[in-house]
Amino acid sequence: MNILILGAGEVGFHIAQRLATEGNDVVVVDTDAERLQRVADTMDVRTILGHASHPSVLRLAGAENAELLIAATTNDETNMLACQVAHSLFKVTTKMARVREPDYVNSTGLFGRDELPIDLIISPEREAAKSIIKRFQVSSAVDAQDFADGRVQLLGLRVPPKGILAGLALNELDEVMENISTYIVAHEHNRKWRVPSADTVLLAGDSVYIAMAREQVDTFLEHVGYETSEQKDRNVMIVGGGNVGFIVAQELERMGVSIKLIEHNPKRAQWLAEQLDKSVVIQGDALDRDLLEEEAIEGMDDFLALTNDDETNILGSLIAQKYNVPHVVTLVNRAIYTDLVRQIGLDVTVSPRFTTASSILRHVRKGRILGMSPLGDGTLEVLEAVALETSNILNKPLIDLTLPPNTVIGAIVRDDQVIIPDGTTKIQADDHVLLVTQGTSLRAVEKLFEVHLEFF
Amino acid sequence: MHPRGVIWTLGILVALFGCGMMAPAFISLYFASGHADHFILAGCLTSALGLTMMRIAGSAPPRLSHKDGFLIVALAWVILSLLGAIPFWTTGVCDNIIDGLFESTSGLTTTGATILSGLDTLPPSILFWRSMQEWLGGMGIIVLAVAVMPLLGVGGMQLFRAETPGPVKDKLTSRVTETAKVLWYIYLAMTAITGLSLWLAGMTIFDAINHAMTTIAIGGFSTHDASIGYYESQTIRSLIIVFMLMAGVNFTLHFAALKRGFSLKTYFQDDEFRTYIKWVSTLIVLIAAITLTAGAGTIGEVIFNTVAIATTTGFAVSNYAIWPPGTGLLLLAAMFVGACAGSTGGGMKVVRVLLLFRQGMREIRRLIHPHAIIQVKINDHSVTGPVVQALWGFFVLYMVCYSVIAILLAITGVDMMTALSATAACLTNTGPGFGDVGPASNYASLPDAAKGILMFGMVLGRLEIFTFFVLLVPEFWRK
Repeated sequence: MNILILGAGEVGFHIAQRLATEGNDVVVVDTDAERLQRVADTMDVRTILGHASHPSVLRLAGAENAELLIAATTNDETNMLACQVAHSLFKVTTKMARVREPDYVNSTGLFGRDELPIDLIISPEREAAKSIIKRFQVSSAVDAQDFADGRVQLLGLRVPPKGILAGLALNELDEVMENISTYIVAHEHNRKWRVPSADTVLLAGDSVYIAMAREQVDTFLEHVGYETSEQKDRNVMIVGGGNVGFIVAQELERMGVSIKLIEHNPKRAQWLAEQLDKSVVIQGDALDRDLLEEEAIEGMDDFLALTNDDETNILGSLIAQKYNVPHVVTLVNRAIYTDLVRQIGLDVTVSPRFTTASSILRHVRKGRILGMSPLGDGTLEVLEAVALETSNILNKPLIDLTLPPNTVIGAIVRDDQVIIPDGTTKIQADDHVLLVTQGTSLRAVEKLFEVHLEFF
Repeated sequence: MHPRGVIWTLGILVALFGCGMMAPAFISLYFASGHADHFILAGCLTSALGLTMMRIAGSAPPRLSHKDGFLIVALAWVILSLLGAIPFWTTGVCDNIIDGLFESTSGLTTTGATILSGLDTLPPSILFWRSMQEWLGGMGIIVLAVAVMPLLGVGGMQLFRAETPGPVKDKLTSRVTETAKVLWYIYLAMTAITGLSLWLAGMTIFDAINHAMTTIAIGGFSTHDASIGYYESQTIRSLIIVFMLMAGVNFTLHFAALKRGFSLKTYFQDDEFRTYIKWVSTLIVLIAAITLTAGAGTIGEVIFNTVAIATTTGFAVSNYAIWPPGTGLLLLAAMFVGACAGSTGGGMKVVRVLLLFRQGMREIRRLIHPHAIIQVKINDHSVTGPVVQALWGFFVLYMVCYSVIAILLAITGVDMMTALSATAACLTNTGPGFGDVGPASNYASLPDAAKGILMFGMVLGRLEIFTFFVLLVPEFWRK
């Protein structure tokens, strides 16, 4: 596919890298030569220096043949205008734009075929906030991902020392789960991620990814020994009242959660106090111990570190952990920190760049692979694919299928119904299939779901 | 300051007031009750004075400043109260100058405190003039409360400054006229509807017109000594309750609701309106509980009298002064809170009390969260520091004025209960109080000095304290 990416910032860079590795023809446009150089050095893409919304620049970048345009510059207006230009002059089929300003995003009727021709609006802050809220709803989990429009949930968990999971061999799973259908699709032991087999044994401190139907999440968490407290009764401390912090506070307020929001900038704090109805807005330093104790950090159920500064977030989260706050979420922007923080014990991280890129990628993916994102440290990939009529995986019991090495099918969605498969389950045409596979088997898995030539 | 502009503006007010004085003359001609000549003469004199003032000043002022605004507002009430007393003297209804002035001031400030008794036997022209004075006063208050006070920022009322332009300096005229026109249409319409409904409910045309004028102006003058108690009809009483409540609502809110097709939602989205309704309902429940257990009155009487006092109208259907003492203090509190800002009602205004209360709650929360930033909000908008300070200033000054006037009144020889309640009733522009000035009697028995002090109190309350006191500061007069 010919893809045009405008802006080589954090988001643009990441998407370009993913799309280029997946074998697309990518052109990156930016006004900053240095940044373009960095892009050209890291990946196999074409780079164009120039203003992203200028028709001449877009023509030069090959907009006439582009099927997809992703406008991800830091400027909302440039992004929107670029989409308009691409639509009017070059008839680019699909256009996505990053738009930050809530005023644009919330104006209904602004975007559409005959209005501003943008097919998908992405706001990094909003994406990050959304994913934080999702984590909040299943806060015992380290990670939570939705598939098949939210019908299937993939929970990332750390095996707790107490409870039934620790010391459990996977072939005993169905027994102890009673009537909850789950499937463990990924397992980590000593920082090595692999697709588990039937004789894998879970040890306390290991991490796992478990697929299950959305409705069973709460029952499951309770069953394996996590406390599930009523969301409404939770006390949440948010550090950082930037765009992400504000959106999260607003959403949580709507859910009836009691919130303390700490913001450093006095002006911003004033503004927040004006906008938020029930939250207590505190002006001060998130790393000030006296302030945190004054606001009873030890009694908090959740601590969300959402400032623009990674270091503050990480340190704040560590402090919160010291006070035994059960659920700590850390916002991390820079890629190198993401791995680091896991090692120092901060399990739940959210990266605006990453969430934005994966939500863009989810829309980009063509054909029968609907979603694909890395799991754990990135050695494993999770995919959502649609089984085609011509595919040779249909109508055979799973046990007889020869799947590529290290690949499992974790869930099947058939007409709104979630099926957690066992050896006898058969895949039917138009089923949505959730697979987890190793990076090296990725191409083979994609082949399974490709359109076969004889079909034409 | 523009002295010519001030004189011209006052001149036109006086001239129009003079024309208004002619109206009772037609009433007296129609009822053939005499006094037509007195009203025509007084009207001509007043109009002539007004025209002379305009003549002296030359032409319409191109612009008026902040300071001119204060001066015009304060002088208008004083001068018109003086002139409005003329018919009371010339017709011989009041044999004493002070009494006439008291009646006139009470009317123009829509207080409704009276020194006249035997109303049922007074000539219709006099009764009409009293009601009309209240009605004209109400017109003035609407403009004062909705356009002038917010613009001048009296006692935190900059809150209600229309959203669009920022602080308008040296340009009071054009916007005030525009706003005033719209509000007067609403005022007129409400009066007409009230009059019509009262007439349909069985009042005579004359009574219906009079009561419509004094209800919508939240005045409280009646054409009968027994006030609304004269009417046995529950329909009439209920109608007046509804119209008093409506007149006690901010007129800009009426306007906003009207623009959206009479939407009740608009009303209930307003913080002040919600508080006003809750406050009045709470009062009714409390007072009813006390009164009914003591067997001192009926539920109908409780509702009517409570609404009449809480909106600062001052009508009565029965003598609430004989209810148990708890009710008296509740009613006194109701006077102080008053009606909504931007209405014809008096008192400190619901919005001010609401904001002061929220400010108090904020201080409590601040003790719990010493570093928290907590905003005082109304209708989802934060109230800024200067507004809150102005509110506190207003509150303190209001209470100081109340105490000083009450003490002065007691010095003139009035008993304590009467002094405290009469001061409250006049400062909040309610009308009847307790003790010697309760609904069953009136202000006639007070010494002249006391009447003078109370007149001052009425004007002070009507002008929301600051507008009057600003004139007493020497800096005001400096160039």
